[in-house]
Amino acid sequence: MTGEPQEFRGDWRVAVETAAEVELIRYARDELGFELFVDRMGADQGPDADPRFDVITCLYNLASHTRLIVMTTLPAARPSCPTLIGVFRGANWFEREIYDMYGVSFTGHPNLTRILMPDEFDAFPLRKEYPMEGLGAFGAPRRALGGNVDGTDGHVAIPPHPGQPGAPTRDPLLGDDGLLPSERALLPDDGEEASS
Amino acid sequence: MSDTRTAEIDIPEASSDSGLNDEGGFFVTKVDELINWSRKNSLWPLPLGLSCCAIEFMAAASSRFDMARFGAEVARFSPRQADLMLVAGTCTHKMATAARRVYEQMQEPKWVICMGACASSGGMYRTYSVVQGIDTFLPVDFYISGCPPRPENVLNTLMKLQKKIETRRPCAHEHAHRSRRRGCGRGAARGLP
Amino acid sequence: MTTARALDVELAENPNAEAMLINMGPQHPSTHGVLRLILELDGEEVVKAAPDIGFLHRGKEKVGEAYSFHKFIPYTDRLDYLAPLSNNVGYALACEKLFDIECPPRATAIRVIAHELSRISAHLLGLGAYAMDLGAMTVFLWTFREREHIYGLIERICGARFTTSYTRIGGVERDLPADFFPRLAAFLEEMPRRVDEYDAMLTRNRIWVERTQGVGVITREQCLQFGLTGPILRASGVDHDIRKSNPYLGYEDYDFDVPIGTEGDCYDRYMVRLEEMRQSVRIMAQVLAKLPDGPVMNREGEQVLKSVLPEKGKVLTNMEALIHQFMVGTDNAGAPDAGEVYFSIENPKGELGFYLRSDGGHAASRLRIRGPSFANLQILEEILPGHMVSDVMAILGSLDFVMGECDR
Repeated sequence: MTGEPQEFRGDWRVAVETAAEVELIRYARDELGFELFVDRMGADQGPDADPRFDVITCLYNLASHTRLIVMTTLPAARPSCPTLIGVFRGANWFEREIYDMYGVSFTGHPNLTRILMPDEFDAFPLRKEYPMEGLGAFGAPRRALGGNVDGTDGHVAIPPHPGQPGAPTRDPLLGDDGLLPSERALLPDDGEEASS
Repeated sequence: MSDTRTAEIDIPEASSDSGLNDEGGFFVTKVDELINWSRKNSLWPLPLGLSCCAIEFMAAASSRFDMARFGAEVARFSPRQADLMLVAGTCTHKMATAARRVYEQMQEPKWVICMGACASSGGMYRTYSVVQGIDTFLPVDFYISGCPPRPENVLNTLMKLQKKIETRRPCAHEHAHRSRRRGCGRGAARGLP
Repeated sequence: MTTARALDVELAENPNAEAMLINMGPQHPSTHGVLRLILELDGEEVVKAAPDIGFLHRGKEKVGEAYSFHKFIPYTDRLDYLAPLSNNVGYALACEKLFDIECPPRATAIRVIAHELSRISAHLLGLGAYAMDLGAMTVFLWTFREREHIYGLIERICGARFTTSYTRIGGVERDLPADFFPRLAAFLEEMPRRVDEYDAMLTRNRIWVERTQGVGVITREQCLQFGLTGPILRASGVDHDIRKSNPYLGYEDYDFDVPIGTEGDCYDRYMVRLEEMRQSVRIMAQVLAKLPDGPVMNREGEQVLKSVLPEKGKVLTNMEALIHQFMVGTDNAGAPDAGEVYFSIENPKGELGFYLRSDGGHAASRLRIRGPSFANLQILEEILPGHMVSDVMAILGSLDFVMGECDR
């Protein structure tokens, strides 16, 4: 179900169902002239909202100088959206970033891996419940002189490089199941059906 | 957690019959001075230009502020050819591994200057991706404050580093000890090489 | 660090045993910041390229959800850190669109000066670094000499050479001092001669021409598909400049041309940037000629007062003003309960967009920064294959990206 396009302070916005999003954007590009791909971004409405995640795409019409903003919402559990790469090749990195920051999967994406955070990172930082200061090894702890109260001292452990003693012989990020930490974090919990 | 430092090197004990006594003598002192003079006036910086501070570093190296006056014009981007690593900008966790690797490829004697608030302490970014100061994994000799520090500040720190180099005693038998105990940050306190 | 997964798959199936995998960056003089390129080479020729970004990801969008709109202004300086004033202007305009506040005419004109001054500054550095990568060290020193003049001007405007945080929601932080105008006039007088010097050094220089013409051609179709904007888009022949098509800051009243290229190669991108510097000088001369009088912050009306920071002088001496400062600066008192806007400006590198969503809370509910370099860098995967390793430097320099706004 697609909502009515509305104009808000010079931009046209339309809300669309996830399954129809790619078709709508293709129609906008081919028939309506919104040929310039501007942005594809995610948003989180908070852990209590359902549907929780938004995927928002901005397009631009070079002839009429107008902008079109297409919004779709995704559920909180296993959010997934079809990829826009078939319509705009540039959506590649934008979707990787949404995956990296929110954990939204894009079906059909050729290389859905982390882009901004290192592969060792296993959380989705732009989700509302993730604190700005980070958690665990990626936390930004206070560094008091003489060490912190909880015994940490802010030391950043750099793993040994290849050639140094103690360096791993195989890729340390891949676990026994051959998945990167972010992929493992997206697996359904035990007891649920695994999605494709 | 396995030992993340490089392999421990045996530091030889001071020996009374090494041929060099503690004071060094007149000749050795002069050689020390010569070596220190040549080192301090030919510091070749490795600008680890990470973000905005790198632009002020470039300004410090350009014609108005002219780092070349101090012999530090030759910015060598290969760690094998540089002896001063200037970390200019925000270091993220992703970058930290690369920064450490670059540092380890530099040869002794080497110094590290931390330029800017972000490199010194994480700066305005108390976030999940930013390392809160590079002295969590690198030994640092000087911290330059500022966001970004003015080029005059960078040159001032370079002059202070030159004064620090003057205090070294490369000929003395304590050379091995001194080159280990460098820097004033956390890294040095923890005995990081 | 792991190599890009996509390359792993390719190499395993590739029977070409001669292919060499090299790593360029993240610490490299020509990557203009912390960009890592994983290149698969067949001798000197690039077969496949995979950019690895994120080495400067500082979590700005997360910070935007924690700090109020006003507190976020210093973070915008560090986006495209070659043109901090420009980012400040774009962010302030986006916030004013969300808060539905007008900016007084004098502040608007000052913002145009700031925007164009930072455009010249960014193009100068882009040109200088690009030329230095290709071996023309002199141009780097010359452009930095000009940039020091610009830094002097910026220091007169707001006190800082570089990270300015000059604009505020509702205007600019302070008025221009009286001694700024003759200095700006002198700069505008001198700048076209300097641009002519760079022109004379490079444009018909045999080495420069050989290294940049026909290299890194980006087609119109690629620009539209990848969202490439700014000088890259215009060099590929697309006539799109946000200052002309969706004018902001009163650009419809100024007379200036937009240079458009034809071939879309590195040489055209260089020419577009060179000409844009001349046009920026032209715009600033027009602003200087008819700078309106008046206040530089909009403090009229009760609704506006809830959203705009009070005068700093009063804040430090007057209790009500101090409370007002806290309410506006910390709690976002005037933010709309529900609203989202997308606003973009023509930054030196391309279209810098801000998508702001407010739910009446003390911070934005979503603050998205559409950095042009993020989109611009994506094209590397498509255009690098087929070029030599030395062309890689030419292409990187001509794309003129900055990692601060790519990784945010």
